[in-house]
Amino acid sequence: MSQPFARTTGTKNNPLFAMGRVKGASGALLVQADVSSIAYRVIDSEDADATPTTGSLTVSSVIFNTAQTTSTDSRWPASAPSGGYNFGGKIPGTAFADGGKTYFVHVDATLSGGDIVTLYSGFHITREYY
Amino acid sequence: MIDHFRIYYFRLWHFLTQAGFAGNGPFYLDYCVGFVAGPEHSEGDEPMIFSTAHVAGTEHSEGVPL
Repeated sequence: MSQPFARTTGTKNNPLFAMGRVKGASGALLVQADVSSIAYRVIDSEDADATPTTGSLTVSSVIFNTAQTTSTDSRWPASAPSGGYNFGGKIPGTAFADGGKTYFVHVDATLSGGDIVTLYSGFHITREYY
Repeated sequence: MIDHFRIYYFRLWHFLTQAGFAGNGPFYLDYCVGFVAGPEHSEGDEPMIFSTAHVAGTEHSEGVPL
């Protein structure tokens, strides 16, 4: 099974709300107690020399112990698989400072045991003209 | 006297814990989607197989191979 990958489009400096559903082997959702820290990284996919924009997210604010579904958050699209999301965090618009770019967005959680799990992965394209 | 029973179960517990079979781990990303405030909203999953893009309003395209 390959890792899910999202693709979004927006204007420059427009924040991205990244949502992910992270499960364990038993099928239960990842919960706040499992996570010690969360970091995001935004990379200009066409410039290997560019310095990535990095930051951290607060576990208690972005990890939900119960799934957030379309009925509780309309940002979770009705077309998505049922079950909702348990990670939802905002990547600030300043991470997408230029138009006409394709940014690679990656959010990782460091678990209490030291393992790292991906919470969100995708491309974010900023329009050159708007 | 060596308690082989306890040693066996300790080894089994240790193996399962280290291998990640105990509890709920290992964790994996099952699905992800991004939301952009404003006029556009797009989403996608499994780009090597299938990708969807939704634009609120007049446009809607899907099945775009990447």
